[in-house]
Amino acid sequence: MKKFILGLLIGIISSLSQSVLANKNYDDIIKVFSQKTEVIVAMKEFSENFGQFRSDNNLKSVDELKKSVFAFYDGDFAKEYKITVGKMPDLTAEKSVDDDTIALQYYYISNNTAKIGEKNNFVDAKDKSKWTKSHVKYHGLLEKFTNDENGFHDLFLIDLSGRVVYSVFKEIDFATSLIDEPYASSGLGTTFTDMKDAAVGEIKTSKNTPYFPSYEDNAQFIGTAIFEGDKKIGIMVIQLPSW
Amino acid sequence: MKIVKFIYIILIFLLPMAIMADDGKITSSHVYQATENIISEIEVLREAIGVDDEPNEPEAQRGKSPIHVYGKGLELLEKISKAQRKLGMTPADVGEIPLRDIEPSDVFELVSTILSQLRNMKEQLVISDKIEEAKFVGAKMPSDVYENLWLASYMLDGLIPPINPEDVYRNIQYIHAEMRLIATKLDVSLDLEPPEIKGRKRLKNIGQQALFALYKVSELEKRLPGMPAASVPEVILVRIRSSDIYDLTNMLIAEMVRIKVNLKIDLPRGDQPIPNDVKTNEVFAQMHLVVKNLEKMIKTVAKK
Repeated sequence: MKKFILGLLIGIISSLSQSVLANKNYDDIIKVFSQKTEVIVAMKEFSENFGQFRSDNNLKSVDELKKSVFAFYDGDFAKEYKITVGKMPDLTAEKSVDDDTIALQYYYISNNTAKIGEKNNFVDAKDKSKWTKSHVKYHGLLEKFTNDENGFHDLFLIDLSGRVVYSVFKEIDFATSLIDEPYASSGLGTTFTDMKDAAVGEIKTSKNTPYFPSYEDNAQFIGTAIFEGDKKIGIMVIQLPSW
Repeated sequence: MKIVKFIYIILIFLLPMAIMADDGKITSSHVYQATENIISEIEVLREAIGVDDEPNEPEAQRGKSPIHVYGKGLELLEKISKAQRKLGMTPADVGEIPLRDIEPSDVFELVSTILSQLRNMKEQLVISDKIEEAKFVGAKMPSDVYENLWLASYMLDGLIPPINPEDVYRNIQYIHAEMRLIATKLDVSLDLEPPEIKGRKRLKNIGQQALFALYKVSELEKRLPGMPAASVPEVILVRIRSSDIYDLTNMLIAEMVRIKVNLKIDLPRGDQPIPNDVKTNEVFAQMHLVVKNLEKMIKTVAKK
């Protein structure tokens, strides 16, 4: 009994201090940022323009693009994964993405010549889409907040249908649907699900677990809803760096 | 309770004397025996607190000298002090590696302090479970002791908050401070500003830089007269954890002290506070600066 009480007491102290350490004062920083006018407008524009990306670029088929995207999965991504994890990844589920994902990932991941971890430096794919115009407008602000000011691993804007309509670092979760597997049950996916009924200023934090798109590094996500007036228009999620 | 405390004090102070009385000299085998007790004490603490994480198992070690073991002991003591702070106890003083040739007796003194701190924690937490004292096993080497301390260090990870960027950054500041003292002696001017980092760095990238730094230190040591070069461990960067990076920085600190002893630099590096809000990229940039400055030192020493 004494052991049980002692364990319980220390367990509480331990979990409190670990969560405080993991989240530092990020909750307030994230809350304030998600309420900035530019972020609200960015969320709105990325959501509206995402679905038009293929038609804006007259893409009738994404077959050729798919080859390039999957070559990136099997090449650069798999190589980095093997270095980090020690084995080759099984990408079967990740390759079940839809045409919208393929189109965006082609322009901003596989056709982006920046190295892994530096894809954030690519701002303008110079295509005909409104989405890219929004990217040129808002990426600087979002990138500065994520990387320069706070050193977060990534920032995601997710529309209410569960689509990752924007991310700063363009890992392979970029432009995917968090309603479908393999991403629905991931830390990012469950954070999105937890945020569905969130009120203004509410924050949800996921468990710290290995995350496939980040080469199985431990990842903890913090989400907050973005509102335009009283209307919820999307979810902003931060991925904390793995430590 | 007073009786228990009395027994601990007797054990801590009389056990070393009893061992010394054996043949008058503390060996790595004696230190090894004490580290076995450390592991058992941590096991008791972990069980009582209900820690159920699976600690990493260190690789078999080779080529370690008492100074490396001392550095590892300080790492363990620092983790104990973190655990004490977390539990509202008075934290142990950590200190620096002494600036002289380190003997097993120095390490023995340190591990005795570690043992005493752990037993003190048990006492404060009213944990009455006793360990079975480890038996003496001869022919142990510093590398064996190092491996045991490393395992103990991993086991302690379950009791403390995870190693964070601030801890590693502070250790890198120690490395910089040691390097400045060495550079003055070698008449090398070091870069002070870290390079600008593009993109986003991960733990793996910091681990790579730390490993580069160890190779560079070994290269520098080869060029210093009468200095045996460090053997760089086969650190696998697969699934690297923050505690592995911390370990690499502690290895670098130990090597810096070895170089200082070789160059007869008797100035301590001084203490540094743990900073706030350090980002992964900043840790990477500082580690990159260590590598760059080591390269400068190697070039200068090679010319002489």
